[in-house]
Amino acid sequence: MTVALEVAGVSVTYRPGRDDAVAALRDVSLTVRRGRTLALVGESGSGKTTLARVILGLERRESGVVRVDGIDVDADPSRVPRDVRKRIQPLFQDPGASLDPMWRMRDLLIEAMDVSGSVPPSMRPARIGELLLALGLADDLLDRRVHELSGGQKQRFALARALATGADMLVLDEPLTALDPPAQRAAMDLFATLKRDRGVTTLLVSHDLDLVRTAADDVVVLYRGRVVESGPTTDVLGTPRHPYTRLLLASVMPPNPAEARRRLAALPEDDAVADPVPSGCAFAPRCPLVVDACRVATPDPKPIRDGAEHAAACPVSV
Amino acid sequence: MTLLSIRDLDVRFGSRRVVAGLSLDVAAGETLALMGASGSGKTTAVLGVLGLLPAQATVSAKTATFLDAPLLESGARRFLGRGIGCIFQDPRASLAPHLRIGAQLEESLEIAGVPESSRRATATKLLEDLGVTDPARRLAAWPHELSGGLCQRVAIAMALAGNPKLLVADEPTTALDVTVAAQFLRLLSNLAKERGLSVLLISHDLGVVCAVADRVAVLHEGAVVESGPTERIVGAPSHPETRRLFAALKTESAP
Ligand SMILES: Nc1ncnc2c1ncn2[C@@H]1O[C@H](COP(=O)(O)OP(=O)(O)O)[C@@H](O)[C@H]1O
Ligand code: SF4
Ligand SMILES: [Mg+2]
Repeated sequence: MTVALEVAGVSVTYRPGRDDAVAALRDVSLTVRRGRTLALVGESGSGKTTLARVILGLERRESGVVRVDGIDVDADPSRVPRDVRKRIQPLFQDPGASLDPMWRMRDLLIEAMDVSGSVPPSMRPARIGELLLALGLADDLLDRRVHELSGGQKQRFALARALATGADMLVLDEPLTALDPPAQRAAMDLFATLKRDRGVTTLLVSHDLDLVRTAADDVVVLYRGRVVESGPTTDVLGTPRHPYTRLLLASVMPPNPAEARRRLAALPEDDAVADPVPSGCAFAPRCPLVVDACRVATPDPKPIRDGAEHAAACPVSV
Repeated sequence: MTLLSIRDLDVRFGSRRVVAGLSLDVAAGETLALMGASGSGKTTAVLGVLGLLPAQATVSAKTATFLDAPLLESGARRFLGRGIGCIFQDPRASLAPHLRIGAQLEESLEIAGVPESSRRATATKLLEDLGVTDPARRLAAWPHELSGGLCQRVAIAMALAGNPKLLVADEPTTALDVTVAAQFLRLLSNLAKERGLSVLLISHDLGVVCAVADRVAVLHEGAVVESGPTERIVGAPSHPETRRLFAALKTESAP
């Protein structure tokens, strides 16, 4: 199977102040095969959005390689070829950030089609109609300006615009958070259709494990800037190995009173602190299985058995 | 004993009736979850009862009482920070960015009538009770220096400053990471048990409701269409709107 996206050994450090250095990503590697959906999960601040931005060529990295369809994405954002940028379409959590507030929605969609040359002019009205219908947007919204729309409407337009480009790779950063359940379902149906009919490759950033379970083929779990577990969704979410992944799953309350209460009562006490990352395994301060060795060496992801795609960065549980 | 009792609550914005004849009771020590589709009037109803809506809203009710004292006529605000504590969706939004955590907590304690000399000690104790490590350092911190989980605990500490009997929480876990949300729920259920605190919880997360609510009331178009014990409502919903709501929530993320 062809690799559509390859990330190898990527590190990013933010320097908010003169003496501050925040390691946002440390030696992160992953591959997404063509036509597959890979989900990036992890708590806020774990580096998901930074990685999405690195892949889009919007963030400077210190080390590592990013390849889109085998083409290197330059570490300098200003030198990323237009061709590569066109091929990957982003959709961020805050739709306002990617849409100019004064533009009318119709012009935004037409511009997206123009730039990419994806839809011939004669086909555009029909294509726009299809997109609106699929996303449950009324036709009369086309003449409104971005700032006149609600958050949910903006998010759906941002999505329509990403789809209008005809990109074959989507980077979706928490794409559903601004939508209510019916709109979320419509958006998910659309992603599924795109994947089936056009073989679109997707990197989905989400902290919604139910969504990930249904939408992603593969999962990468990030914890404080490092990959702690990765592999096929059924393996990672079905038989998680890393203690952090297990904690994540144990923290989701099932829609059943007796079971939810049992799960809540069984939850270990856990103080998710924002203090500096310790040396060794970053999860050590919260880990129920921690041993002395964990605080010395930082574990790298290892296959859970020879040749397995499922890998975890925890020598104690692998 | 009934702590909060509401009969036929109406909230209008001009000619739009957003809450239409809503009735509910919260008993002492009980956690009641208010569920409903977005726009069904959950937040408006609760803000209306608490006197927190903007002036253009018209709020009326046949009766609305907290501990048998009328809420609407005399203004519910006098109970805020004393008998009633509130937590909102985004814990960071309920903190003022330009004030250190300690100053904000002490302000809540001042509203609650705690004398100045004991405010610092009480603030420290509140954070300790909520499982915050190194409270002295947190009190000296600015809101942006705290993680989402810590912000949420500070927001809870502020809500508990006046030793309330009722905690109102509107979507308190929506903006939190799952592990942080789960710790919050654990804390909430412990508080309810240990202090006999009543909770009015607005949530659209069925798992969250199942984990902590004793009873559920389902809102549709501004009125309660069904209410009862959580097991019964979740296990065997009888009103079509309840079934529709749960079906939408359960398949929320399924393609
Ligand atoms: N200040 C306001 N002016 C006019 N309509 C409002 C105002 N605040 C809320 N509404 C309307 O009231 C309805 C219920 O809103 P809300 O109470 O926020 O519902 P929920 O909390 O269930 O999502 C919505 O249709 C909303 O548009
Ligand atoms: S390496 Fe040690 S501390 Fe880290 S997850 Fe594994 S057992 Fe826990
Ligand atoms: Mg609301």
